[in-house]
Amino acid sequence: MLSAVDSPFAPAAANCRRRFRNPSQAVLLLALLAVGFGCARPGPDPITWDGARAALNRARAELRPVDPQAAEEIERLVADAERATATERAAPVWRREPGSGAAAWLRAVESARRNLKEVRALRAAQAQRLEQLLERAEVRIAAAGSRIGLSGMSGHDAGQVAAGRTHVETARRLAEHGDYPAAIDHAAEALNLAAELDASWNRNHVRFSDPSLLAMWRGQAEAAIDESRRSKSAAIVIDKLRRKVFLYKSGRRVAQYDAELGANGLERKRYSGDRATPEGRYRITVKKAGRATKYYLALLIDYPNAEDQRRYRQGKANGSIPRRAGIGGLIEIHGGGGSGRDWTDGCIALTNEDMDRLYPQVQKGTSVTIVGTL
Amino acid sequence: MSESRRVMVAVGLVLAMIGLAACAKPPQATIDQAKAALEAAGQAEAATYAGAAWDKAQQSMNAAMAEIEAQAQKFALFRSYKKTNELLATAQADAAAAQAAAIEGKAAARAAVEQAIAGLEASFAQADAALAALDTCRKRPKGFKADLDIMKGNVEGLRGQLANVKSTAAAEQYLQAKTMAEQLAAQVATTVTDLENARTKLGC
Repeated sequence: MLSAVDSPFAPAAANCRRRFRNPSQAVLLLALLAVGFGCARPGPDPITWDGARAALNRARAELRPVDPQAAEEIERLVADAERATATERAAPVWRREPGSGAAAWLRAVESARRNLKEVRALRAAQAQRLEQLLERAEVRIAAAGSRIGLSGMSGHDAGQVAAGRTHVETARRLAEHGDYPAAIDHAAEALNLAAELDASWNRNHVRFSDPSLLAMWRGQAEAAIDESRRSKSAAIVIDKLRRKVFLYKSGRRVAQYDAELGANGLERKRYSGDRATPEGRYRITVKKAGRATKYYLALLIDYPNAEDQRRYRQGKANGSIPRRAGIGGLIEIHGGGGSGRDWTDGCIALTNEDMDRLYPQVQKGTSVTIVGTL
Repeated sequence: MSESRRVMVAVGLVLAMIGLAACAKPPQATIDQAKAALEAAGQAEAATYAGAAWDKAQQSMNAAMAEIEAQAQKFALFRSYKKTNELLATAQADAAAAQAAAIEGKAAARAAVEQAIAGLEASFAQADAALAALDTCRKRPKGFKADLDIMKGNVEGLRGQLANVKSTAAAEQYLQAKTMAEQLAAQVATTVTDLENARTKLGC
């Protein structure tokens, strides 16, 4: 084994021994140096990031319900910023990167600012869209609601109106909670229901703009008026769409009264129980008063006429009329009206006061022409 | 003690210190546990049902991770993960609390929706009973049948909304389902009142 004295490093070792009388001093010096480096004080942290933390927390809370991914991005950036700040503070002088913490916080703040701007713009757009949808839905559902009780509006339609109102109110409540996407879904559903209601209403009314039907109805009315003129007698013309009863004398219109129809009164009566009001030319067969009617005063007409019977037979033959349904009868112009809705089983209802005026001016045999519209 | 022996002792001490320092590694198992706890809280929808607790858990985790980073920057001899362990324990506890709060919040929201649905079903049963009574009522003023049809349609329309509430609840969108149920309850209550009033008025 080579001794220290014999080795080529002997002079250097001797020199070292001269400087440090005790070699352990050198080792201790090395240890102290290491301690010195290890205990290097953390870098200064002149900026307190509490304000940024609080602002980012608020941003995250605002973003979360609207854009969860953006909120998660903020969470990740805040975590990065916390680590960068810790790194900057704790790193030894030679590895320290001044400003890295600040840069990380700024990245987080900038991202939050950008996301908040986008989300607020999105929410403003959603709020605007919601308001537009709700405005349209409310108007149309209110219009449909006002038609409830009129002919052509069924119980199903009433249910659609109720459902539409629920959707509108639910949309408003969800918007209050900031859930605009769900609110928009409900408003759109309300609008869909309103559209269905309008379509249902229009289906019931489309035939009133049919030129051939209009020509036929006008022809029937003119014939009745002409007959009244020629025979110097009274004639009644009923416009179902306008819900009016017109009284003619010697061909001149002398009075008009508001009328209410069957619950499906805008349809043409085809069979018993369809609650539709007939259309065609009829005559008064019986005048009822007192205990003969439960509707104050009544004028029974001769429904079904020959045309009604022909259509009934045809309906039976092609299966469009239920097999056990009769053709019906007992169609009257009677009192008890005034509710402003179509409620009868097919009759025409006037207020008792109007019946008081009409009743004495007509007699058995007076012509009654019921048309869709004029 | 001879000089060479003292040197050997000093060198041994330094080596022992370095050895000890080299053993001071981040507590990976504890870190993993804390991260798993936070992930579990996230999966429990803590962000939705326990926002404050979720934020707190995330902040605790951030503090722990920052401390780990701080230690990693130190000279190996002087790293200490004692504080890290404490912070990780806090983060794990906060995450567990967030998870528990989320589970509780979600259960509460679900219970509220179920209660609202039960209330609605009771209201519909009441409406059905009133409609049945009206349907068999001997006193039938003019327009009664038309009105009854509308009232029935009204109840059916609202019942369709109950189905919507149930499907929203089934999709675990409890907060939305609750809002829908509350709104529907108000409308059904009005309808039931109208039906009961009609029933009373007609003596059915």
